[in-house]
Amino acid sequence: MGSLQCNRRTAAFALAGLVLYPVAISLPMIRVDQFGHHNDASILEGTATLLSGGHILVGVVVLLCSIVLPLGKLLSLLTLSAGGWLMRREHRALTYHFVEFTGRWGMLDVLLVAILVAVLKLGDMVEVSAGPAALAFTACVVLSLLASASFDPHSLWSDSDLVTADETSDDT
Amino acid sequence: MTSQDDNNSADLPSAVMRPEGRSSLIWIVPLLAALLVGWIGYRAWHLRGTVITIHLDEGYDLRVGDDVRYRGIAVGTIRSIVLSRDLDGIEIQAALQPNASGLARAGSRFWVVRPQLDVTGVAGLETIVGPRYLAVVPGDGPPSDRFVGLNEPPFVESIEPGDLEITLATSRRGSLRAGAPMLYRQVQVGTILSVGLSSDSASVEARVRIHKPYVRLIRPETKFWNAGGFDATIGIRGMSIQAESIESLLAGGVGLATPPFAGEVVRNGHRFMLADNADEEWLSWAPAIPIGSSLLPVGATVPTPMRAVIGWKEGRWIKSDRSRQGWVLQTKLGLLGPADLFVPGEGEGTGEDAVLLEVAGKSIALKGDHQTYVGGLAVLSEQVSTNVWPSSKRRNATMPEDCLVFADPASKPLPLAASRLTEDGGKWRIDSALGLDEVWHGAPVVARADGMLVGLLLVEDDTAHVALLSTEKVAGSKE
Repeated sequence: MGSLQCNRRTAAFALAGLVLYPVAISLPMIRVDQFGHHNDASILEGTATLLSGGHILVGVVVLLCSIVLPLGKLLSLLTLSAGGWLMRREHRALTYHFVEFTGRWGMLDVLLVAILVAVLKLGDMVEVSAGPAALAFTACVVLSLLASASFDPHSLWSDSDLVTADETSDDT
Repeated sequence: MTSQDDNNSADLPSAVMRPEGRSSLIWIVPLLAALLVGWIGYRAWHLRGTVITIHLDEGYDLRVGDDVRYRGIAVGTIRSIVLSRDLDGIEIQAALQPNASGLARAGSRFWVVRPQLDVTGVAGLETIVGPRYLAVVPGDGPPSDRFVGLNEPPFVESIEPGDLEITLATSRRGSLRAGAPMLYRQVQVGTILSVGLSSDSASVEARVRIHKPYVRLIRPETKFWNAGGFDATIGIRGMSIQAESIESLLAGGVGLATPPFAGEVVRNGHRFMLADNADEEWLSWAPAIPIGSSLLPVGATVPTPMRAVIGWKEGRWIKSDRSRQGWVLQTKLGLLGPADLFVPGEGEGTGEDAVLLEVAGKSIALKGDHQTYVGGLAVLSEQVSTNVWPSSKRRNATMPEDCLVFADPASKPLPLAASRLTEDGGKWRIDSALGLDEVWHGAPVVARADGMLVGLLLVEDDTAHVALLSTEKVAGSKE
């Protein structure tokens, strides 16, 4: 029962993260003022610029770390916490390993913005400030952290065990 | 099986079942997230402002993120710049801030401000280092979101109601060019808006705008001549070069002169011939035509007050020179001015020494024979100037109204809004926030509505008020 409640919490956090996700990647993340030109950059635009600019490696890393992996993690947590009826057990185990792996990479962007803001405060020449998406992205990252922290891996096998236990008890 | 369970339950703590309903509180988190998304989305949508599209022939290095500016401040941002579909220009999308959405109306003019070095001057200096920007002058049509921008900054930024537009015709273009000045006694009174062939190509026509204060200078007999370039005469006595002014020498321009008794003021669209050179006679014309102010209705004239200084000696044994200054206005009855310009000091120690009033290059001995009126004004029956303010152009006012104060004829008048004035027993007190100093003492105050003289501005001990004209004489003042 306790793991079920945990999973409900996980599902709630993951759902909240998913709600914030589109805003986080599509609205301006950082705002760069350079010699009076100002430029807003969202994660999507930035990734597209990197890829079309020929920076394939960096572009792919950014694409993975800030777009694909967070989304994959949130979706996985949501499906895992939704219960056993969505996936077979082997797949769930695999998915859980994926969540564990992606957890370490999800925070890169906020870190990146923090470093950029710190490094590029060059006075009046260049000014970098966080845009509205920074808030959404931070919330998104925190929510996915909470979701994975509150996820109880026991539920991966416990509720299927419960089912088999019920079946065996019915049999006897 | 069951008995064993019972045994264990004695020494093991039993699990307490929590009601499940409590955990549904957690669903507030996604709800909060949805609210946050809604808020951020609303802000982004709201700050987006009015989006307008402007077609321009040239981009002049304008970039995405540059400003749209009006009156020197940023009122919007360039969102995107793309080539137009048929390659004949560029399409700029700009987002105006919500409070500047009123700039997006039919007739609004947009142009790219860039450094321009021209014979008439330098423009857009700030854009040499800084970014280009899109400047805008609002029109007065209905709201619109598609515009065609100008390639060059407009010569006349705002078309004032009351300006006069006339046409000049000539046989050849000479140095006529759009933006060149119209010069009356080498003072700019207007601007050439455009130059081109007439529709039958028989002549060159120039459209000219005369600024509102100078509209009265243009009469049917007014002569125009090409003032660009210079005349060089080389003779035995050497070389003489004549040019209208350095500015018109380089930029071209049109001189104009009006003879005395030249007829009525012309109407819009009047056609004049442009001569190649000015006659000697034209340059000698000097009719007295009162000019107006751009803040007064057409036809209203501007008072020309004169600086007056009253000087006297003070002290019983050791006499020191004292003086006080202010403006006086010549009227038919005499000099109208603050009463304290006609009375020395605090009335003590004047003795037998002459009190002198210096005005218009004359020195008048004051014998106390002025006429004092209620409110602190006085009239001294002296005629020192031929520029007499007509008695038909004065009236009595009661309630505060929008006014202009004229002091130094060469500088701009001071506007006084009715909201800055409070009626206070026959005079209007002026909001101390305006900070008027003694330079304005005695300056004539003219109503903006009809150009009538309503009073004089008096400044005493750092407080200023408008002393209204009144016909009531102060009892005891001599006739």
